[in-house]
Amino acid sequence: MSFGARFLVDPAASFAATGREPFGDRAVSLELAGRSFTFAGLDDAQLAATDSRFGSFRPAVAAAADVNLQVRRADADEFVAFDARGWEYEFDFAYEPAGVAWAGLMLGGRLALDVPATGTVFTHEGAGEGSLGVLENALRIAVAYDLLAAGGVLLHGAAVVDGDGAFVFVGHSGAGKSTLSGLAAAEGRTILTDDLVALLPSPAGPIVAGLPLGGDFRTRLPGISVPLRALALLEKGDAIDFEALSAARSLGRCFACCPFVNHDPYRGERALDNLGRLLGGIRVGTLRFPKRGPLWSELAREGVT
Amino acid sequence: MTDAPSTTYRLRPDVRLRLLGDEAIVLVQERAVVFGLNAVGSRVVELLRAGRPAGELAAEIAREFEAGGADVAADVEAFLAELVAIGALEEVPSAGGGVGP
Repeated sequence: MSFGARFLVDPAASFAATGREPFGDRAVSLELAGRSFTFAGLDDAQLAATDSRFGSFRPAVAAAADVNLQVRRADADEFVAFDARGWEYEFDFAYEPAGVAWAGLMLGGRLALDVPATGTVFTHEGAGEGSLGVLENALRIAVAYDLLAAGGVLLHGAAVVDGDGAFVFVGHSGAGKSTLSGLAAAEGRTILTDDLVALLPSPAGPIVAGLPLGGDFRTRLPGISVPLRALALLEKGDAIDFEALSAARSLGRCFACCPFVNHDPYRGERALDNLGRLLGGIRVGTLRFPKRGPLWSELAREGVT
Repeated sequence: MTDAPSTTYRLRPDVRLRLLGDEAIVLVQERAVVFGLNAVGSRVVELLRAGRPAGELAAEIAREFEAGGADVAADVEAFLAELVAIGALEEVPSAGGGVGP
């Protein structure tokens, strides 16, 4: 099936369309993982929806945007009617030397990976949960590509703060990220995220930031970034078992959990390079754990954390 | 996978190999897969890149790593099959292997 055909009636025409109108003249800047993302072309309802989810991530003074996204109106009949019940969300991507285009439920978008990155998102969702979903999904992709450009990576992972450091637990859907996060929270640990985690370089070593994207433990702690102490890839098991991984196996396993960019033939190697730099010197292994607590204190007792 | 001793393999054009000390990683971009190789796997790929035929690999690995021959032969064969299956390796056509009219 050709790019976008699952979601768009005529993908080529939708992506070639010119002169799309903005929904309104409102704009919002968000600061996530220390990076700045701006959506423009919103109407009041979209702005209110954005504030309801991301309000605490609006900086008092917006920095120059790292990613600028223009939101534009599309006709409802451009999109394929889609029954999403029981379906795991998966975008269509078209990877290009200078950027990336994507299609999803009731949206399409393109991002030119300049500095700053600029792009357009088109949808017919003008208000409420629908528009919020469109913006959040566009933001996921923008964050993944922006972190890559900044020397970081976006990972499917949970992040738990303990003391002055963070422990990251990586795994795809169903790996146990939310279960582990819940058990750690029950013992008083701060959860930065249980779904998507940002790893970024810093002069003092890699840092971890939670993102308000998906998950049950959506962070409401803007501006928090914590040194990375260790990273574990989650595996199914009934007892606590941490097994150290070699550098090669660590990179391979983590790369598989870098959404969007790991399939990008133009930028996959960069993700690998970034991971290699970020994880150099960091303890990485696989972790099995029981679904019942107490967990965090047991991890400490076993020397995992 | 049972190959003629003279069969040679090469990394597919879109595959990237990175050496990490005595280990290596193989990136198969088309499938978004990175395969981590231990020292033995890394050495096997190195030998393949040097043009060594599949039939010579087990003996060379057994000699270098001081391991038993039969097990090594089976392990090398399974390893090559795995790399072929994930799209990392392809067989090199033999120079005189064309089928004429």
